[in-house]
Amino acid sequence: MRRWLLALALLAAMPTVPANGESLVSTLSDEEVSITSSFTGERIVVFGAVRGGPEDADGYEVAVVVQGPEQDMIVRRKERVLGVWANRTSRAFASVPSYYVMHLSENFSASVTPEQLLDYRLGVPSLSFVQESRAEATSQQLAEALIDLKTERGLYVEREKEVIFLAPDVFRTTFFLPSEIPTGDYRVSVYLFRDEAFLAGETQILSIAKVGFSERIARAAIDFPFYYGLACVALALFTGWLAGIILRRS
Amino acid sequence: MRALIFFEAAGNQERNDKTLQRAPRVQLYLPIAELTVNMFLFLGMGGAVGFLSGMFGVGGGFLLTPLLIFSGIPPAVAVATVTPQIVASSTSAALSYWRRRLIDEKMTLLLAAGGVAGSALGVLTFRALRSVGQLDLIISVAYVVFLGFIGVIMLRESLRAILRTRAGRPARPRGGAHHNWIHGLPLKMRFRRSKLYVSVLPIIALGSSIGFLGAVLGLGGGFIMVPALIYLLRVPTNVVIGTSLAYTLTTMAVATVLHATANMTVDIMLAFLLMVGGVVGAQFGAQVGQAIRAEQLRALLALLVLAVALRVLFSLFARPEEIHSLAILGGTL
Repeated sequence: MRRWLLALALLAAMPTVPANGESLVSTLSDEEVSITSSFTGERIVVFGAVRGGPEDADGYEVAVVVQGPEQDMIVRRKERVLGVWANRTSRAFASVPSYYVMHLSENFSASVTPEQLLDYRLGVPSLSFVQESRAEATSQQLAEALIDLKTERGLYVEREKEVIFLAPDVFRTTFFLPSEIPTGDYRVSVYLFRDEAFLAGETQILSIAKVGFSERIARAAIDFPFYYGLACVALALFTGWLAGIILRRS
Repeated sequence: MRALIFFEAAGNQERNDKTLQRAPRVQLYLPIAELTVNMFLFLGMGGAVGFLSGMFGVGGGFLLTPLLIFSGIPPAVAVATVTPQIVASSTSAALSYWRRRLIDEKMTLLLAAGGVAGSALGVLTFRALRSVGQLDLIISVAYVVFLGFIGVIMLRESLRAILRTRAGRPARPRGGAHHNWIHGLPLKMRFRRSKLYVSVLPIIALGSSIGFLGAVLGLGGGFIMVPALIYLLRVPTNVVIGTSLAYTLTTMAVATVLHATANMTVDIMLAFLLMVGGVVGAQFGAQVGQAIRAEQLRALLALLVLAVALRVLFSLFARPEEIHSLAILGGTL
């Protein structure tokens, strides 16, 4: 139900009404990503196909957007105070996506203008916190710093020519989730265009959760912090004691 | 931050798909720090610091905490996670001193009583500083001030002692002439193993102030405790290291539980890696330490302390590679 509402809301945000009867079918290589103790990141493949178009349909353009759970972030800037670099200026930003990837097909990236992308609410510049930061110069600088930091860590990615057409109406793209992504529900949205006019869109949910040992540890640390602390101490004493015994012999 | 090439090579997570496929299976996901790290980097780091800590009879926190921060662990996690690691590395060394009856148990109890109170206050202070956004600055400045101060005092004293032994006199003359104001305080108590008769007040004060610093800065405080016991209380050198270790063990065990309860930033996986490396290193370090003369050991420790202070000082004044930092509002990291 929630997913359906979300998809509806996204479609409502699109300014153009689909002209043809085209619809989208898409699927993910995984619907769930499990963060285990050996998690080093995960690659997810999105497959999509266009349905209901004319037989000789061509010239489809595709954008795939993956958006992670939103967080309220604070960006701090170090400045020289008495010769020392200290956090001085800071700005808080609400509803910052923890992860944002936009992949475009080659024909779309070649012909779409930045203004059109903004209109379609596609891309990092269209995110609400970026738009809101434009009111003030410092905010804008710090929002840009936030984007740079996220980009550096592989959490914000915008790539052209990344959606590959396997047939005129079948396409594929692959995105990478780095190990430091937060858990939660990620929205994977596929948008279909022709001549930069919106035809159809579909959103799916990719859920990312800690499982197994690392999940139990993270849960214990939050649910039973006192016993978790005691367990840490017990482990430390045991390790120290055991090492003393083993290594004293040798 | 990534001035150390060693860490640059190994410390940061693989981000590139291709290198990821080729990387050996040594990556481990840290559930509290929420990132994947190279296991061997942190095992090795624990080992190297453990070796030094065993050698000098200090917890090694003053080395480990900055190293963790430099290699990308969030400061809040680094400080809190070093506490159980100090417990582990002190345990193996403390046991070996205890077997050789080189611990003053009575003094340890008094020091630890102060230490528990001090670290409770420290954990609360830590939490307050973090919410203001100045935790890393305060940690850095405090490191420079304390390490610089202690390092200079220790170096001066140990060099004098070395010169005295060169001249053929005993390294550290003992006697009435060296009594100070501390020996005039009330509430005196007899410490048989330390062959001392001193007031309990400076002992409790020492325990609580080092416990406070330890909890805020993620250090065991052995490097402050050892010289303080020697110079302020005149505890004989042979008992000092064991007593300091026993104090560190007790206080840091309490600080671990407090950090876990108040801040939820103790990463048990990271702690375990550091512990395993640390305890192994500490055993070898202790053997080396016993073969070196006490005053030379102190001079080496002083140099090490000063080196860390200078490194942190440099990072305060040098233009940072990245002047912006990100934090989740109300988050733990």
